[in-house]
Amino acid sequence: MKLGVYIHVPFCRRKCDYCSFYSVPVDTLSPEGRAGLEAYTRTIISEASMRLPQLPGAVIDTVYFGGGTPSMLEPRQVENVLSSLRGWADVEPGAEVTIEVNPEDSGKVSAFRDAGASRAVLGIQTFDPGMHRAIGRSSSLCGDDHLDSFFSVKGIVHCADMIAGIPGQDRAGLVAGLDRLCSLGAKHLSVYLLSIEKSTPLASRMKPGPGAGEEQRALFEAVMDFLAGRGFSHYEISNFAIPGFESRHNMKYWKFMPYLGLGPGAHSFIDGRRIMNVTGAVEYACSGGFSYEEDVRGKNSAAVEYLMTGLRLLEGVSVGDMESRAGFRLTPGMLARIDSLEKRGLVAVSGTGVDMTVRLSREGIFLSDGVIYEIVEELL
Amino acid sequence: MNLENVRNFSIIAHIDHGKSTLADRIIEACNLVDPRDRKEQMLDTMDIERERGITIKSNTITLNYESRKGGHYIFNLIDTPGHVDFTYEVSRALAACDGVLLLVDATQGVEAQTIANLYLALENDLAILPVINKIDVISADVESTKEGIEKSLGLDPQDAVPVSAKTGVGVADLLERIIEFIPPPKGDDSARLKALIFDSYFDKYQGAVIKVRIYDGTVKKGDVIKFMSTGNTYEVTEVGVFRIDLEKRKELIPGDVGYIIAGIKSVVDTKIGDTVTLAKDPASEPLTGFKDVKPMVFSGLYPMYSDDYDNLKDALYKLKLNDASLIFEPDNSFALGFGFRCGYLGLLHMEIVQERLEREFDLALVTTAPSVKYRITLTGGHVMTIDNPVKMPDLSTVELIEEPFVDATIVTPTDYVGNIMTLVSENRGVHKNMEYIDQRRVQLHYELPLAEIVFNFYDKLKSISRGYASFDYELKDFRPSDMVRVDILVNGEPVDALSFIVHRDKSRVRGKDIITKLKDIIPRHQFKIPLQAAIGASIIARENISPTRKDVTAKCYGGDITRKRKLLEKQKEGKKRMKQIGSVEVPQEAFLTILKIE
Ligand SMILES: Nc1nc2c(ncn2[C@@H]2O[C@H](COP(=O)(O)OP(=O)(O)OP(=O)(O)O)[C@@H](O)[C@H]2O)c(=O)[nH]1
Ligand code: SF4
Ligand SMILES: [Mg+2]
Repeated sequence: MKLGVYIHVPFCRRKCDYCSFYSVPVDTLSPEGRAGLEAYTRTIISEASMRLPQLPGAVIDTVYFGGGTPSMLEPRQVENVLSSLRGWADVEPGAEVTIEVNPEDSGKVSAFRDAGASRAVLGIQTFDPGMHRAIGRSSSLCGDDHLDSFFSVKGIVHCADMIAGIPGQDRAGLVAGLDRLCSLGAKHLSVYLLSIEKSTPLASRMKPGPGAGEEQRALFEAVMDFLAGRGFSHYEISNFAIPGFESRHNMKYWKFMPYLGLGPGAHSFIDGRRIMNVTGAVEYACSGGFSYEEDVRGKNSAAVEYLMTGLRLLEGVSVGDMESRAGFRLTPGMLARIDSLEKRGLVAVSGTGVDMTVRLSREGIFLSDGVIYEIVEELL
Repeated sequence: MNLENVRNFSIIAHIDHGKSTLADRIIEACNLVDPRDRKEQMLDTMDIERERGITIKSNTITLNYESRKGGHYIFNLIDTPGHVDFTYEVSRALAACDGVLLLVDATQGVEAQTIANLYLALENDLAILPVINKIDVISADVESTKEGIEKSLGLDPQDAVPVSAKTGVGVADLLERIIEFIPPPKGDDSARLKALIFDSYFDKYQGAVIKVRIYDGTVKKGDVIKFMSTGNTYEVTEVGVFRIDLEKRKELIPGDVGYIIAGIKSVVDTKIGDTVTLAKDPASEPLTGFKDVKPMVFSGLYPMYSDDYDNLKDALYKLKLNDASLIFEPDNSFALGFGFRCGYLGLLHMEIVQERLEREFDLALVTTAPSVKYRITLTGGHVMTIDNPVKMPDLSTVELIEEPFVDATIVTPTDYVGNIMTLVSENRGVHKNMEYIDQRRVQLHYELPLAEIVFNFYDKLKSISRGYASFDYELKDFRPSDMVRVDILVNGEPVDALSFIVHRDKSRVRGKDIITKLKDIIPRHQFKIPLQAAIGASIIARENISPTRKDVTAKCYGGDITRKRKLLEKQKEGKKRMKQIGSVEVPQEAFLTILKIE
């Protein structure tokens, strides 16, 4: 079994105002902070040592250090985690090993590469100081120095995360930023639309106005058009890649493939079962990395999840693949809805029978939440 | 106890004049409650009453009073609500009494409901003891208040007892005056039982608990009683009086105000105003009951979830036991499914009923816009009344539409007379006359269409008079008016539950108001949704809800698919709170917004 491994690092130097994820502030400069990260790494290793042996025959082909702020880890710690994975399971020689990096850690990228990383994702979000302040991003504003040290590292795939649709964001500026990343050699770009999540500090000061949706859409369309012109394929709603550089790890989430999540709050999907680790960093540490519960799902959940994630891929879902992976065949009711969505220009359908494929149209991308809901509603 | 030593009285007044607070002081003076357990407005026991600081239900309490001049007395005190919408509570309480304390707030003087309540007491031939309250307040004007008591109430100001229900000043004297002023009840304990049901409530374990005033005869545990209107009989399992809780008694005798429990499980059998007698030796004539309530406004009441229809029905019957002024009948709406058409005494009453149903019976409800009752003469001469806009016949078959008018009394400081005149004429009112209550204040009389009052007259009156004007009304007659039904169309489909009847001159403005509100409430869809207000086939206002251009979630991190799936499941739950009109999902609040319009 090919297996993806996700390592969740729920620590940040400081919380961003727009962030609704669980994360714990850690001061990497203090001895306590450093000791905390060291203890965390040991617990990850112990969790790996307990869980991997339960998956005989697993061959790890992707590893992803996500967060939080995984670049707060020392390269040595990343290396230790990777070698413990090798100790308990086979790791493919060409495995994709990704790490998310905040601008202030860009100087550590070559060391992460030496530790085994093959991809690094720079969390830029925005180059515009005004926007950076507006959303309350805690990490440093990405400047020339950061870009230099990040992109000068050879032997690694350069990726970046950006946010679009910040109220007042300037389209030309956003596109110019992407242009710069393309020129520097970025192979993979994730562009997320800002969502103002309830009970975040951002929500208390920023209310989307009546035209906010339109504005976000216009920005995102500009992004799509620009990146298409630069040879990027738009392969998932928020993800663009030079062909061949798609994230194989993230693909596992969207394509119903197995993955093991290590760390506080990490999720695993193995043998069709979903497992959630205990969320709190302290609870996780106290349990020695061994406290999780299963998300016991109803009989239709697999089909719902398959469609919900699969439709985000712009190649769409195929009926045959769905039958073999989720063991589910579209019902007549769902087919009728797909038919109606096609008439409304929101999805495109090709082929018939097991060869039938359903994918979002350009319009459908922007209305994808509603489109997906409409297709799966009867299964909920 | 000798009847000579019993006093049955209600405290009545305009809203907020201090009835419940005075009741607290009287309860204290009678040492019923341990000082540690005292709280303000003890008799306001319902959560809604305490939250809103107003009395909704009349409440009875039996007290033992030791007179300063010697002698043990029993006081059956009933605290009543002051708001117009609960007048029926007052009138039923009065049937159990021989006298009233008519309270007047000395900082405000005689107000509209002071006068209305005075008339109720007069109709019942009760002894009326005026009490001037809030004399502790610096702005209290006892002299003007006395002037008002004399001029507009026609009572002898020398009888008036000044008190402060807050500090207790004057309360001791008041209690002595009650003994002198209010006559003891009459009654014959050897005559056949005659007890008047003036209130009731439903208890999960005991069934209907009925509140009675005994006029003649006695009743005790084991007696078989008969309800004179239905002939149904029940065996009494318990009788008693109201203290802070129910207090069992061996028997109830003439003059008593108390309760009877008789295993009455079927709530429809209990009729407020019915006479209870003994099955084996029944009285020949029932007591005069109560005038039927005349509901003023009507609206549809629907369960949010259609599965709850039976629960709603059961809840309405049970609530009616405790709210005799509520009337209802089954109804059915295209948009909202099965529900009830309910009649209320006013908008506050409507709000309270809905809130009690939701709280006490754990229901989620949708209410439609309130309407008054119209009288319609068809071209063939046939006359019908309707209280539901949906029932309005095609205008081409209608000869005449008449709407209810009320006699309205507004009491106000003279400063606001100009504003009020303007407000009244904007609301199609007719000025009748004006009388001075004292130097600063006047009583204005108007005739007004009930429909305008139901709409938002009261709130406007309060705001243009800075809260100083008070208002009372009673139904007068029906008058021809140019009324039309306005339909609301969502995406081309008329939504029956949103139709309303309005004067033609106001139809355009109201129609526009409503669709503007709907525009904010109905979420955007994938397609454009036209909203229209129409009279018959002619469109009088329109708006569009533009289609969604963006509905996409950015990311899910680290393979947390569970969270995303749960969001979808929640979305499905949320959809249950939507009503499907054609291909448009309309949130339930849409039906409420039509109620709330400036
Ligand atoms: N200063 C002062 N305040 C008083 C006095 N009597 C009542 N109040 C206040 O007036 C307000 C209304 O008192 P309530 O006793 O609730 O009035 P009510 O007549 O029972 O009101 P409804 O039942 O709603 O008609 C409360 O805030 C009381 O504290 C008084 O003698 N002096
Ligand atoms: S760095 Fe990422 S995880 Fe941390 S607070 Fe900011 S957005 Fe949230
Ligand atoms: Mg009160």
